[in-house]
Amino acid sequence: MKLVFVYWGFENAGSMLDLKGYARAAKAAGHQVTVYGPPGHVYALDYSKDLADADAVVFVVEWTTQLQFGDRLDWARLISSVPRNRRVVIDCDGAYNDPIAFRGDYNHKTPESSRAWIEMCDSIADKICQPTLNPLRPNVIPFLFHIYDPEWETPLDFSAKPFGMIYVGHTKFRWHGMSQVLKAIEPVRDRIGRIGLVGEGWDAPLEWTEWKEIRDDYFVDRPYLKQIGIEALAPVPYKEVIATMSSGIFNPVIYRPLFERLGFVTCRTFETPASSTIPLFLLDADYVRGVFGPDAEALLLGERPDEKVLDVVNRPQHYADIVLGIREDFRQRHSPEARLRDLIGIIES
Amino acid sequence: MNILFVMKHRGNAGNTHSVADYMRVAPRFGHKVELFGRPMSWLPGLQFTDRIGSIDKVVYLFESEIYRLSPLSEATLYGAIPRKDRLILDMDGMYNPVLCLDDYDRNHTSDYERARWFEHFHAVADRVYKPTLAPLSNPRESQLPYYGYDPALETDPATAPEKKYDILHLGHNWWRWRDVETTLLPAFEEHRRQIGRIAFIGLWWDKPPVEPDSGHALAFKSDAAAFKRLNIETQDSVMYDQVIRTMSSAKINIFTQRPVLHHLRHLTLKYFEIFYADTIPLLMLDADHAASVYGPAARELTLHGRAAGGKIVDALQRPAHYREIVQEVRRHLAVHHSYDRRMQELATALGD
Repeated sequence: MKLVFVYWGFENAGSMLDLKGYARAAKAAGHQVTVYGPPGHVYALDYSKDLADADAVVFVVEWTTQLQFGDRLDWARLISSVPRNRRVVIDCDGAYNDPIAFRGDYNHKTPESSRAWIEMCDSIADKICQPTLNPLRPNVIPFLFHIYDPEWETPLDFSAKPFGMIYVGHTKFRWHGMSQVLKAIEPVRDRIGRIGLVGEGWDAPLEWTEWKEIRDDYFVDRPYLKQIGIEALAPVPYKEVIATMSSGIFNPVIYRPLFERLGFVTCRTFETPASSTIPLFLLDADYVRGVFGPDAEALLLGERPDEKVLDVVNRPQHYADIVLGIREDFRQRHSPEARLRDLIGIIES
Repeated sequence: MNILFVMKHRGNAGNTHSVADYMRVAPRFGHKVELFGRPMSWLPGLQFTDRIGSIDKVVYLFESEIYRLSPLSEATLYGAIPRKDRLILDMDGMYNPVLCLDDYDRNHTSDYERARWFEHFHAVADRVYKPTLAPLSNPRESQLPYYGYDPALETDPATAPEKKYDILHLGHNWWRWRDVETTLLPAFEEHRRQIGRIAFIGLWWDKPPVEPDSGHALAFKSDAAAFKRLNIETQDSVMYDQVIRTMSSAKINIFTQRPVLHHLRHLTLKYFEIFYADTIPLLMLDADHAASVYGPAARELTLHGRAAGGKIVDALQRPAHYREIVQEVRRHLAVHHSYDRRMQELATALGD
């Protein structure tokens, strides 16, 4: 089967590692994965605009879908290339929902925007998937989409970490969670070592995030970061995400509030346990148990977060066993091969 | 059948008016016509929708620029309406080889631009319809005269505005200058003292557009000094629903057509609007072509070369005679170009 993914890739964001995993698994199983676009694209995926023998088209829909300013006739070509029942939408941002507002985060600014996205998804495909086990709309197929790739696994060696804590991700809707993590650390700050926040917007706001309409979405209290000695570092390309996360003893796992509300998994859900680090969750306990397994409860920041952080920094190897357990489970349930099988099942259903 | 038109919204252009006509006529045949988009306060007479759930067919009305919707809207339309239910109307002759007439008017500036247009056409739909009476050679093309005539819109002389002008030309200065410069200005020059007020109403008669990338500079050529010398007035464009009334403020209206479209024998809305007005239309068209559209009587309304001045003066001096010709043309249009017929032709093209 030839699967064509439609995805607007960014070097330092999104689902690029997932697509590489799908492509590798497909090749091993005698299938083919291409990403729609001109060949020779910089992201080292198999880009092609050849749709002649496509068996399925998978639209990976994120906020970036709106940015496709180029030859938008691509939409017409893609839709003509395979029948509706062989087209799948993966709604990674929860746009295929009524308007939802949660802890300052939201999927749509207006009901009109919600209607337009739902109408768009319904028009291009019969099958709409979301990366959650509990979608809100009845016609949505639960499909976690993002992969856990055993090839990412990095030995859990804590002997020479440059950072006590590192976080890799941008600032959009993250301050609510990040401020809670940092407040928890404050009492033991001097015993954590270096703390780094890697990604766009932590050191200074990007110009376009200063627009009045979205400025609050990207809020960061930078004087506070400076006051408690946080290093704001430049974003890294997707190929360096795991290595960067591995430079800290622990990584806080915080989601956009909207994704937490929707029970979504993200790239980071699977990348963090593969890194040489201890994930510390600032997430709903039921969600953590459901996705990462019952033992992962010990990785919740919990009611005494300062003590938890200190314990992880002092005894990382103790928590490493839990991470190894998560890895074992993820290798079975969330491998590229497993995901590809599920996706093909959805296409052929 | 619910028909959605996708096109650039321009209140001062003919194709907007034509869609308004289809909106008015469609219910008589059990159809509904809407324009894609949100309601616009400056186009109050038009029905807009961006809800495509009930749409059966889409008509992409292509003019001389590639009009794009937002990415979400384009994806939604392509996804919701299958190719077989889409139709392209090529109003400005873009689905043709590169044409350049007398080193002046042209449909494309290069083979590259033409290829880009063709890619667009082929990506959107299988069939391209042209508002022409001329035979077509490309198997993907079909004739669809599209524009129609509705006698109910004819202006009653009793309610027509006062005749302020002897001569009016209503339309934008877009590839019109050669006709104006070579035929009309010499005619006016020769007979200026026998002619009252002359006005050109529309965009770009005084100066070209200031927006960058507005198009080929030749398309907007004008000569303000000549207009001043001949005491020719200019005035800004009027909205589509004021065209007929404005035309009716002149004894004579002169009809010009851009050379490429005349060469391709394309119809435009102005072919028909001008006969709704309480005026004498004088047509800068090939006489045979005029006869094929309007019937044989229309030959006498055509303006040509050095005879143009005499024809204009004759029309001013013998209005009753020319009004009889106009009435005969109107009868021909009502029989051969009714909107009822056009609506049926459009429905057939859409596979109803």
